[in-house]
Amino acid sequence: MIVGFNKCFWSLILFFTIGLWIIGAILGCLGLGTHIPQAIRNYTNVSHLFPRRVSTWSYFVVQARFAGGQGRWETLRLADYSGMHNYGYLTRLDRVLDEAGTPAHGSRARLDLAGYLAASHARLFPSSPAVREIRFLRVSMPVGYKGCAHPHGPWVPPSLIAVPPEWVRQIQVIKDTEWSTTNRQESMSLQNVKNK
Amino acid sequence: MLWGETDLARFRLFEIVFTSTFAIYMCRNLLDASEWLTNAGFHLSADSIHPSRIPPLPLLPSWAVPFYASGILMALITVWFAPKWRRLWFVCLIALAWYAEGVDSASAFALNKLYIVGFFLLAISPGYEAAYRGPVINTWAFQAMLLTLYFVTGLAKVYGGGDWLEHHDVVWTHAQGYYRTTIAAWLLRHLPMSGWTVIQFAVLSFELGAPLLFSWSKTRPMAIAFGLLFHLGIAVLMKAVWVFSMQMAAFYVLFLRENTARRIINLATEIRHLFLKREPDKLSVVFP
Repeated sequence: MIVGFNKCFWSLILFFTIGLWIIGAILGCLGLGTHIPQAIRNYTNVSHLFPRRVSTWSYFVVQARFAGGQGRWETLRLADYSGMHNYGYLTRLDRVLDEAGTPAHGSRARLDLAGYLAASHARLFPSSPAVREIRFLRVSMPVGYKGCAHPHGPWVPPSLIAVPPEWVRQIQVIKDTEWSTTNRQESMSLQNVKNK
Repeated sequence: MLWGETDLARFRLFEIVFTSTFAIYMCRNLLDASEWLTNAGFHLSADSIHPSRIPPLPLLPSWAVPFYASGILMALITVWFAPKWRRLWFVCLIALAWYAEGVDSASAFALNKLYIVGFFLLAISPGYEAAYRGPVINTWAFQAMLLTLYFVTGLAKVYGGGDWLEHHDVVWTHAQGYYRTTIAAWLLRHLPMSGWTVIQFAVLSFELGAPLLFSWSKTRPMAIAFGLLFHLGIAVLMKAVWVFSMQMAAFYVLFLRENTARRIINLATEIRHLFLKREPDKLSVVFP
């Protein structure tokens, strides 16, 4: 039994759309879809999960120096500043840091995040000394390491003291003067826009 | 023929289940709505976002968050109970899912894009007439979508550097990271490497063979059982990935027997009638 024209029309639309999506998905996974606009590729390259073997599990460690802290770095628990644990056992802020990208491109994102963490820290822990400096470290833990390959429970990042120094890279150090300058500049530009 | 009329109980069930999984996924994120949707949380500015990414959409004021949540609830209720408005509400769902991704890419994963694609295809699908009969392409398109997802994922594993063919410990390496649950930790301690290798090649064979395994009636039950077990495995071994497993499992209703899907739809209709204490014939427009 054949249904009406309206149904035929929408059937053809759906047929060609799903066909194009399938072609886009296959081209994307073969690395041939580079000429497809990014806005479309976002929706065709959606299924390439876990395509490679992992050699290291990398994550960020954020540390702060506090006023009167005698220069000692203390690790900040990002879970105190973000309630969203949607990235495995990591938080949304960990994903923001991962998405920030290379040291060059990500420096502005980390500067903004440092300002946010300092302000949030002052709000959440009013009795704590002010944050003077924040640094971002990247720990790359090779797979097969005993704590990962024979773990006693779910993922918990090992303490930095327990990690060999060669696994740790310092990505960026940011002083309070830098994030306060940026905030001031943003406030001034906003004020300028308002004045205009 | 693409527009040959058939029973669309499976398709009808799929649009209900798929939309419901979206609502569950959104509810999970809405538990932290202020961090995710408003300026109470940290958000990258247009200047600090990676150049390859689309600039973020404006954040919601706090008072608008309940409206966003209501939009999802309204869409869910309409898809469940008033299918004659389905096209309109799928357009709304596209907008809601697109906003979720645009406002904060850090809380939207591949599954959010899949929802956008899924709702778009649902919005342009021809749909059904009374008693859920309509063109067979409705069901075929979404069956093809699932099988394509599996196939291209397998293909990417083979062509994306070839690790899945050259190494025998790929799944073992993935089990160790920050997605590792208690069950994954237990398996890492007790499952020998050969067990991880069997899982790796079973998964790869399933993904590459999915179009054939699901299309041939003799292998379909085995494919469905393996696929559901596969997604259950991902959900219990990887923290926070259960939402993706749930989304993929929603597609499996498209492979139910037509009689089974029809019985489920009829049962849901009867329950609704009992709940509302109304005569079934009075609701025939919304629930034939």
